[in-house]
Amino acid sequence: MNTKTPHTDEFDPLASLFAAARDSQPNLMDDNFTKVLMNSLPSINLVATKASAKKGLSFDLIGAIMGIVLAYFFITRDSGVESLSFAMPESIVLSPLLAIAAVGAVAISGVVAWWAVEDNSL
Amino acid sequence: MKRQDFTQLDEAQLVELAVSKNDQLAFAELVNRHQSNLRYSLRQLTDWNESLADDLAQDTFIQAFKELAKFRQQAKFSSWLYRIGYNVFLQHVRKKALDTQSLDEQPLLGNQLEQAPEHDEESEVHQKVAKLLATLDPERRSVLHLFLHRQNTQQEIADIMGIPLGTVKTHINRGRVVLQDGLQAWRD
Repeated sequence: MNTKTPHTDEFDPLASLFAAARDSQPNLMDDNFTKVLMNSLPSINLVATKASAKKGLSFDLIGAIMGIVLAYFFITRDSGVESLSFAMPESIVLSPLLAIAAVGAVAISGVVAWWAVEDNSL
Repeated sequence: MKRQDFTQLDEAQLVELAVSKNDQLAFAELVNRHQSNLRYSLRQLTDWNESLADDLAQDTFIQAFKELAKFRQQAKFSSWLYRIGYNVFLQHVRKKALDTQSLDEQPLLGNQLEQAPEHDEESEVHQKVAKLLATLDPERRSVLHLFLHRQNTQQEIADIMGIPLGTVKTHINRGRVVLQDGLQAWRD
């Protein structure tokens, strides 16, 4: 049990306490821990999870590559900029209804984001 | 394959069986091997609250089961599991606001420890360490537990907890001072 502080020969009571705890760490009996756990495992097919994760990645990759290829052949830089500027509205009138809808959309997005993070869905 | 056959397999083989063959008995063997260490660590982090620590350990293993397909064999299974356990613990802290306790808020602690049954000295040491760690905030508590009890290196702690190495060093330096002061206060 090394209870000396690093670089010195001074006795370190903190290191001594943790060393005592480490040396006497109990082997906690399983009792029904594993049994209860196995009964509460979600019915997930890990094989399918692994396969779908791989499949999802390949679909994403294929889709991204196809999109880049199509854009390269069918969209010129000028037409892209033009279509973007065309899509922009010339003026925005902020009516009360529009304001309420915007605030509602932001609130709903916030709630959904919070739920997703808390639920580990991301 | 029978249950006793799994004891012969290493962890990489057990993970592979659980993921590729959906073999829950292989996962049960992994649980069996790691439950004691994980439950002990969580008891240290939760001020020796045994039922809470066991609940968090259950949640940790369920989360690990869900994410087993993502486990990379390069990492140690125990480190990967502890990372999940630490995140489960932090989630609990955020939800339930498990407050950091200062020594001033537990004036009876010294008396309680002195009154512990004499035949249970080992248990007293573990609870004393847990009480001491409870004076630190949850992240610092985890760093000090990994450093002083599990004897992980600073880089390993940074990897497990997903925090910068500099933060780990700061936690260790400041945490040691607080723990030494706490220990001194108890002795006085």
